[in-house]
Amino acid sequence: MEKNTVPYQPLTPAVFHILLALADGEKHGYAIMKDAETQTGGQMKMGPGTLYGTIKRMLASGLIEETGQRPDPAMDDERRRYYRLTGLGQSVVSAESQRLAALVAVARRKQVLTFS
Amino acid sequence: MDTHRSITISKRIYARLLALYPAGYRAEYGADMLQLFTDQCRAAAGEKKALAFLSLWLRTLADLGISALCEHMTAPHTWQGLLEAIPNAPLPWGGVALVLLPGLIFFFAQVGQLTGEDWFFLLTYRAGYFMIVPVLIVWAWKRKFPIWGLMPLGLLFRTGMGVALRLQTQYLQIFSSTNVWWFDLLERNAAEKLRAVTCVLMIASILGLLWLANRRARFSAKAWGGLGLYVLLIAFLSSRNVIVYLAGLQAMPEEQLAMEIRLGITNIGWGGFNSVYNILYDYLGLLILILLGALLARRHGRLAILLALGYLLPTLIYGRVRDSWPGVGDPDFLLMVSVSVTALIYRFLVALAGPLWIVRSASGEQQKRAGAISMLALVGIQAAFSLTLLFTNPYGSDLIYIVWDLIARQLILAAAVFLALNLYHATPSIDLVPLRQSEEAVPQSGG
Repeated sequence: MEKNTVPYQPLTPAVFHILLALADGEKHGYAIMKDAETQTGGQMKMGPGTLYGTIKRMLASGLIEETGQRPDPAMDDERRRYYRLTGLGQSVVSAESQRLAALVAVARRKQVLTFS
Repeated sequence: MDTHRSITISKRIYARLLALYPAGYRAEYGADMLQLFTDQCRAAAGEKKALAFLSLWLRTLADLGISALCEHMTAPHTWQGLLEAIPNAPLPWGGVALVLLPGLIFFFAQVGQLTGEDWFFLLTYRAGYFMIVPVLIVWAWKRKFPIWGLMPLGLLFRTGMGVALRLQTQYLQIFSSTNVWWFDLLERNAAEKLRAVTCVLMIASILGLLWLANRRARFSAKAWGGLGLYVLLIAFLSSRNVIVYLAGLQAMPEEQLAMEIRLGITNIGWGGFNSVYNILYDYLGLLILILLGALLARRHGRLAILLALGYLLPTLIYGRVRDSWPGVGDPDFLLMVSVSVTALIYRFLVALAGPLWIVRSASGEQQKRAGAISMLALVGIQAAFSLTLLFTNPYGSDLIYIVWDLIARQLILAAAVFLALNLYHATPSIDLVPLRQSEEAVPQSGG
């Protein structure tokens, strides 16, 4: 069944980047933060407060879910909490991406989007 | 400083700073946030840039300030604690800060007045109008009148009464259908009629509010006693003014009085009424506010006494008795110092210490005691202050008359407080005790 994504749109930058970071698999907080930083070419540096405050609200609205605690083999032996997208989260990030793509298409048509 | 030590110190500081978040949020995410910050520290150390740590800290502090505020504002317990009194628990510190805000402004303004600055007028009177705005927004949004709106509401009520009195006496053409404001006698008649209408409306409002409040929760014997005492004291002050007025008429030559009555210059009925108008206007207004509080702020229980404190805020004691400060050798120097000290103590009590004690008291009975003692201290200081001024700077020859007047006015305020404290006893409608207890049981993160 088609999920209603309209109430969630437009997403805040933090929510959108967290959803995008989780689009290719589950991640822990630091990995989400690094992914968002990479996506934006280093422009978005989320602090711990913003990241976990946003995660708390996304968990409450059912966009993401926790998948348990375990160490990240690539980093150290500390246990970390992992998160992944829910079905609703996938629909919302997809709808938001389409909305942004449509905006980009409009910008192209009006020749305001230039490539340097 | 080596890298490892920088990371350890940063981690320790950040763990302490996590205390700025609400306890529930800290327990859920504090460890993860500390872990993430440690990762960021390691990354900054790996960058080998001189300012990497400084940059990280600046970003983190900004993030912490904004997100901690956001978490406090959105935490359900914080909102419920601010909007409604929590049974058997003191008001949370966030709410205390908001309750004390009007008091802080007025205390600050009082210091300005003592130093001879004029901006305190702007501050106090503008604050009187506009401090209610955020309260009204929250009221409309949450459909609950917040605890921290009580003092601004009392303040606005007082300011509104002041404005109304000014309009009644200076801009009669606004109220009168006869455009005769340039003719003194007719203007006076219009003013008298307007005053009579005002009094009738106030008394009708009081009777209506009494009926409503008594229907909602039956008045206790003490509340009826407080009301009776209040009305008796108004009657005492009024009748004494009427007696003084009539004595003045009696002292006039009979022929002159008869002529004035014939020409309409003197009307004994209206004259007597005018002599008590200010007393009726002030004290009926305070009674309306107290009864409104019994209905409007019933969820706040005895914290609703803050309404009366808001009403008292902009009034009563002025900080200076002369336009400029006298030198040390000046005979007025000691008087000025004592006036200033008294004024500051009074304002401190009415604006900060009293409200703080009341809202941080845990139970309704403790709030009642804190309210009663604070208000009695205010009344006592005001009485002592007035008497001191009286004896150092007498207003007239009839000393006994003035002393009785002062005592009666303090007794009226005390009766008003007694009435309010015995009316404001409603138990708040929500029970947040389990929520608070569970929150307090959550272990603190950090370290």
